[in-house]
Amino acid sequence: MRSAEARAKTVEAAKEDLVGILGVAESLIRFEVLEEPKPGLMGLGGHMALVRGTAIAARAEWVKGYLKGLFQTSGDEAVVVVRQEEDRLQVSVSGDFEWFTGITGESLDALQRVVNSTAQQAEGRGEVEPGDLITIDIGRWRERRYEQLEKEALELAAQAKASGEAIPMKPMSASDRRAVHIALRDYPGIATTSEGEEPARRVVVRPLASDEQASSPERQEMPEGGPEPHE
Amino acid sequence: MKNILLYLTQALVQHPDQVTVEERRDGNRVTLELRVHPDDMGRVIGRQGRVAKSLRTVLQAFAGRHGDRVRMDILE
Repeated sequence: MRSAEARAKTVEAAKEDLVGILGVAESLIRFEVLEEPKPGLMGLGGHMALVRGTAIAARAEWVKGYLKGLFQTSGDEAVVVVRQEEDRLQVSVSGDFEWFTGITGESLDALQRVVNSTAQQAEGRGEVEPGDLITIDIGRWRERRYEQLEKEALELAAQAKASGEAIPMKPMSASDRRAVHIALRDYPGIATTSEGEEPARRVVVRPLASDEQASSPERQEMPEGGPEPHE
Repeated sequence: MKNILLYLTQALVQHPDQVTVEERRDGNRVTLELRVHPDDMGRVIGRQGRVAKSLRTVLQAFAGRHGDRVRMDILE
């Protein structure tokens, strides 16, 4: 990691100097004040502030490098694109990775948990900028999966509303369940809940009685790989 | 497989120079023995074993590509 030291009249001025020396934004520098400034007596015996600054990796660059490095280890070339979404850092990996995602997406969820744990540790060591949860898609697997789930969820919602009966879906992973909750969040007259224990936990799509509709209960789940999944 | 586990673990721990992996192969069964600094045990295992479980799943994804089964043991 790159670091530098700067001496100036005040700590703030030394920090400003370090931003110039390291050439990165202030938010990407970890500062350590080595010596507080001390005023001397009539210009004698005092000293200036001494601050060390260490450049930390921006979160997006860090995750890009981490995933490229991982797939390089297995001899693969990965193209990694990172996009900041509202509350998450969305990472898309493209390349020939069907062998990785498989059918269930289980390995994708696992990789996502490993990446978030690693990011958390690296943050603790001051190597990477703290920030939002990282979500990973490979070969648009999640994108396609969630489109499919959304379609299914909308069909079930229509059925549940027509019949007045609650419809349980098949057991799914936390990230899949979350996609269903989101798909039906604004569906009028329908509520979704997660029921049962892992690995048989499932979403139930239920019609609301007319007096419940004003305040439809909403259940949000943490995406897989969250720092502290509450399930 | 050894290099993949080394890569994943070294990024996770506080003492990357203390990470060692031994790989043994018996037909298509691969066994990986992971050793880390005692202070890093919690980091590779995680709360309720979540990190270790995820590491095993990721390793299996890499191994499955070549039709291998992988087993990872974390040793003290």
